[in-house]
Amino acid sequence: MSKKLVKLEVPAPLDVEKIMQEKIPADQFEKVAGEKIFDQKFEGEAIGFFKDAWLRFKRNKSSVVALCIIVFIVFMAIFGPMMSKYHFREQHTEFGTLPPRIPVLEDFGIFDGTQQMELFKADLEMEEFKDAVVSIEREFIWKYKNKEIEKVIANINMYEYTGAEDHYFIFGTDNIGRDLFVRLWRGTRISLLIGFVSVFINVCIGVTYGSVAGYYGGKVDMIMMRITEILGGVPFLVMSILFIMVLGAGIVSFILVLILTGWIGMARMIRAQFYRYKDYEYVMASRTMGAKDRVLIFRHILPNAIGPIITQATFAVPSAIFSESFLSYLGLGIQAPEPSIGVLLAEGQRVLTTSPHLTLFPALIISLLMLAFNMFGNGLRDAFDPRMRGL
Amino acid sequence: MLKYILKRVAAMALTLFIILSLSFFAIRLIPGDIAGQGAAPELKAALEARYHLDKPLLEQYVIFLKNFLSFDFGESINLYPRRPVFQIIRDKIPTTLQLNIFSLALTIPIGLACGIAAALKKNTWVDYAISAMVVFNVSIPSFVFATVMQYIFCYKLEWFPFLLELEDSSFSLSKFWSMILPILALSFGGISTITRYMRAELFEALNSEYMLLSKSKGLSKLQSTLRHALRNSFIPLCNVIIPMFMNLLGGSMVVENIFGIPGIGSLTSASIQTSDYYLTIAVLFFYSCISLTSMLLVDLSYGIVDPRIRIGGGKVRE
Amino acid sequence: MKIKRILALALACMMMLTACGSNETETETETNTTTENTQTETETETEEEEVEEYTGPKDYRGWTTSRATFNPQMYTNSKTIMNAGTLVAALAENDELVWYPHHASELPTTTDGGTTWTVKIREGLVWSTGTALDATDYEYTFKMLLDPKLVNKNAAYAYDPVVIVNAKEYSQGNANWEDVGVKLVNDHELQITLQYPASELDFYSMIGSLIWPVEEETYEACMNADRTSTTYGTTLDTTPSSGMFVVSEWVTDGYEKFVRNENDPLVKEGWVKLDSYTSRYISQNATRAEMFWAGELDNHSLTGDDYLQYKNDPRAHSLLSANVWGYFMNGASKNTIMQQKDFRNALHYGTPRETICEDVYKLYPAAPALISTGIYAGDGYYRDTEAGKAIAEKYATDYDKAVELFNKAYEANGGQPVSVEYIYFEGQEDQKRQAEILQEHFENLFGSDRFTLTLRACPPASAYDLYRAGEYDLGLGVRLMGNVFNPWSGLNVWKQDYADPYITGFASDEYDQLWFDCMYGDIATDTAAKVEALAKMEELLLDYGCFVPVMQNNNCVMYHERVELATENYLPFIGFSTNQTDLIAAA
Repeated sequence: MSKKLVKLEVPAPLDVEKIMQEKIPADQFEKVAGEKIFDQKFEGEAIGFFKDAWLRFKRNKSSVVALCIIVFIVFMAIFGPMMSKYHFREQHTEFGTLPPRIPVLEDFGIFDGTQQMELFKADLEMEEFKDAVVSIEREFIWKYKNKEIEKVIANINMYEYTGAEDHYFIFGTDNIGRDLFVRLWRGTRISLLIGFVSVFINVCIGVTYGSVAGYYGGKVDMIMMRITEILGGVPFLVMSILFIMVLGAGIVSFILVLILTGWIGMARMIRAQFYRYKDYEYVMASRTMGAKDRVLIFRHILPNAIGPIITQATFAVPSAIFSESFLSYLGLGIQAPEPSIGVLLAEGQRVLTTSPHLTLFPALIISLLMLAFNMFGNGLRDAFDPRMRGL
Repeated sequence: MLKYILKRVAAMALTLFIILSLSFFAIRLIPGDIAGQGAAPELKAALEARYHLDKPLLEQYVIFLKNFLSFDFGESINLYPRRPVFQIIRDKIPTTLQLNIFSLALTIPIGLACGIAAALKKNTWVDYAISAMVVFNVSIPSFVFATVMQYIFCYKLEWFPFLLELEDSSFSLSKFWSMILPILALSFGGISTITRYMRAELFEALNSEYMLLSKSKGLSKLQSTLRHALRNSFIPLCNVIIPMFMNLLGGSMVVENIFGIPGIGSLTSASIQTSDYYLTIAVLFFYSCISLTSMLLVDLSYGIVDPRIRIGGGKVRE
Repeated sequence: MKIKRILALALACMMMLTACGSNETETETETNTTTENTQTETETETEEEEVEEYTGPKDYRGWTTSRATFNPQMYTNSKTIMNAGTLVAALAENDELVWYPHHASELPTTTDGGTTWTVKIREGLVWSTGTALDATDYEYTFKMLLDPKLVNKNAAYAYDPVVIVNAKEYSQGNANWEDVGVKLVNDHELQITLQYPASELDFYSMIGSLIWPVEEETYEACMNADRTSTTYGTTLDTTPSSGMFVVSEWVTDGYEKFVRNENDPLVKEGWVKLDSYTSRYISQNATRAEMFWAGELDNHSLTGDDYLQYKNDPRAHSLLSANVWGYFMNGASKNTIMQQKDFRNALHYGTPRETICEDVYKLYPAAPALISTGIYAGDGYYRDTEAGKAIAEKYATDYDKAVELFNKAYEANGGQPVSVEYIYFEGQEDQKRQAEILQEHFENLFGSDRFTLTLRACPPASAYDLYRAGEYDLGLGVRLMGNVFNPWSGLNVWKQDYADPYITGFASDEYDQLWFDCMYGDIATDTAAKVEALAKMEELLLDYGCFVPVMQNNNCVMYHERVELATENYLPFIGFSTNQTDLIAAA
């Protein structure tokens, strides 16, 4: 019944019919070529599972946007570092912690590499401040133990101040003068790598484990589920700290940490799917015809779960990146000098109030990734399982 | 029912035992000297003897288990030298628990309310606003959020004190006031998790066949929503709340650091990083106890929320 | 000196804190202040003040990073025990350091040139618990400190470097208490016998300032059945006080509050101006900074980035660290290139310490030699002596020389590309930056096709354990100079028979002989000869290449304007004597 309800919401076939009945000059048909193909497909060949999903996915605007964002970020993660003339390890120690400065925008007073500073008026006389003062925001008298000292709040062009006039670090620099733009994309690459690889392995383990547990049931299931319970019983954080302490921080140990318990959710989900489908008649029919366990598991039952698997995997990627950033905050990040979004965020957090740009850009990317992956995941879920549309 | 509970408790004890053993051996793998850190080397041998580290590993394990089972959890070695582990954890639990409970008390109702509102008013501005909040919440790491909050509300606006007030052990208004930011920072992620699940579950329930039935029976929308949809959508929610509670404890690591809270969260990483052997094992054990107990509670509560799930029945449930 | 090791652990334990230096120096300085006294105000200040005197509550609001225990025989994280008195107090008076009897009724005296010391204890001293404190408490303290079953971490204070007769033997269970050089003459007099003569300065700054008494009744009550452990000092109830302050509130990793101890002799004499001292546990530097700017803390350590804006601020006070940070080099590593002396020297000359200091630390001066500019040799700073200057010059940064040496070592090693691992402390940003600069710089200097530096983060505690085990190539760290007046004592860590060595492969009989001569031998009283010997020792170490000095962690502390420091000058041993400060206004 629910299927019927949903079908009513799909108006596409009606429109096509209407168009077909109208008499339209032949030369006009070309302009709606897309619809024509759709029409033919509808009548002709069967639409495959993925094609069907893709058609539905396409209609969801926000997921398409999300997909575009993901593609963009992945693209930048791969090619972004090449777009800049700086290398991610290249240091300009004298240009430490410069705020962003972007060519055209700087003329409008934003991202022009200035920073507000509270200084003593006497400081301004100093050589290094001479050309660097852009404007004086405010002057005031500060009383200290009955002495009156003149202070100013001034906008200082940090590029002038440090002698980096010829440089444009569009996202600014960290405190040993490395270009944040390059480091950010490089870091994104590593974070994404950690995310994708760990999720991929998790899916493999989870699917196999869940299938076996779900298919065989009984004692096997009992023991296998006990194992997941033990693993799941240890808090993720504690386990990962222990693990990283033993293995040492690095991409591989991060991935291992994420795998350690990450597959459990997937395994449980798959197991539930198996419990649901293994008693269906078609499975029994296949079994009576002599199908082997392997065939039953992978050919007949598992495909039912493809939708949920892909959806769950999509949601797992950003949370893997998130976990990585949290461990970085605890000081267990990727080995220097390699950056990751988490490492950059953790570094930025310490100086958040003085150099906000070091947090802002990594936070922006991680937010975009989270947002995009979530919307993309939602879109996929709708596409694979129309009943869940819009949830 | 009782039999089922007993069975579960037995299984839990087994799990705890395995976790205990695993952590005993895992800590040994961490590079670093368990007893000798900073100790005068001529004392090292004495220290090793003191912590039985001079005996074969298996014998150490037996001694450790024996002590542990007789509730002698050992003493801290490096972090709080010579202080009994039990005392350390006991002193730190109340603060952490207090915060986490407050945080849950905030998270669950708000999360539910938002989720319900979003599901009922689907695709209206209410839904969009709530979804925006959810996305915002899930996409900013808590350490960034907490730092920004502290900067804005404590430093710029001066509304709240920077740190948790500790001077007065009894509960007071000013103490509660100082707890607000830590609680918010802790609840931050949880609210959106609950909201998201509630919205999804309730929406699915609203579109299900039994809702059609209840409507056709002549129940008003309110009645059918309250009696049927809502109740059904609570069931899977239990699954979300356990990991959330665990996350809270993890999240308190960050929040405790930033708001100067002497709780158990910061103890975890510090004890592992200083290879504080007994303390680490005890902290791990404590966390595992909490997570397993909450798992059990959730499983039991299924039976109460949904009578269809017969506890102790043969079929394995999901 | 064991202080070094203990302090090294202090660093180790401070996880996720600010850079290597920002707390340690304060710990070090406050550390030795242990007996906090307040000092009469400097005259110039009083003249300037024409406003009426502030009479409101004087509660100093400080911060700390953690307090492990108040047991003075066990604490490892921080030495700021304000509640415990000692025999002798180091105080700031007229901008100078003075030694003043605290629990002793007069400064301990010696009659035979520094071997036998008579310590007279004041009459009428009481513990915060009400029981009397006299010489028997000190005898008990020594006995418990050295107890072989208790295995106290601070036991070494009694035999290193000032050696009490048979103290070490007793602590290892090889001697009877009767043979130990601590004798109770009567209830108010102790006689302490040393194995080697010690100067007054050494005696005051070591035995006099590092032995904190414990209260027998509580200590015994907290003892377990087989007398192997005591919970003394682990809770407020088990922490009796005998110093200028009494611990009145304590929440572990939360905060602690000390109130002035009106029964203390020095308080009675008016040295203490503060009513109380509250110390909050705050782990994030950013939080401390915000709280300081908001006027909620009375002091705050500037970071490199802040320093730019506040270096000329009258509130900012620079400290003078006794320690030089750098990295250890393991000449005994399995990595063959590490075994090349030329290679190790190349790293020494090639280390861009000036860049690191100017651009990363900003606050800290670069240090080309092992001994800090804050270390005294006799009356003046060692680094100001001719010998000291010559060493610093000889080992100054020199990239050309570095490349030349590297080429030599490279050929000698077979001309194969080499890779070396560098360990730094996890969770400490500045040190990570230092590592990254070293990596980039060395690879550019020596050619990345020939040399690669891999970086590895480690928690400080594990890192030091790796150094002990010799399982490293290069490793960040420090050997803390415990006593600014006696650099020789601190250099025992490089001796062959030192009990807790970091493996570097350095072994020199000449060095060991020099050390012994300076400490206990012929030239122990001859300052000029000792300075020469010190320079020679420094040269031996640098020449072998077991440690590359990088910087001296001179921190800069901002004090709230209501804080009136006891001294305008940074003093050795007690720093600004923060605990002797006064407050001249309400918060």
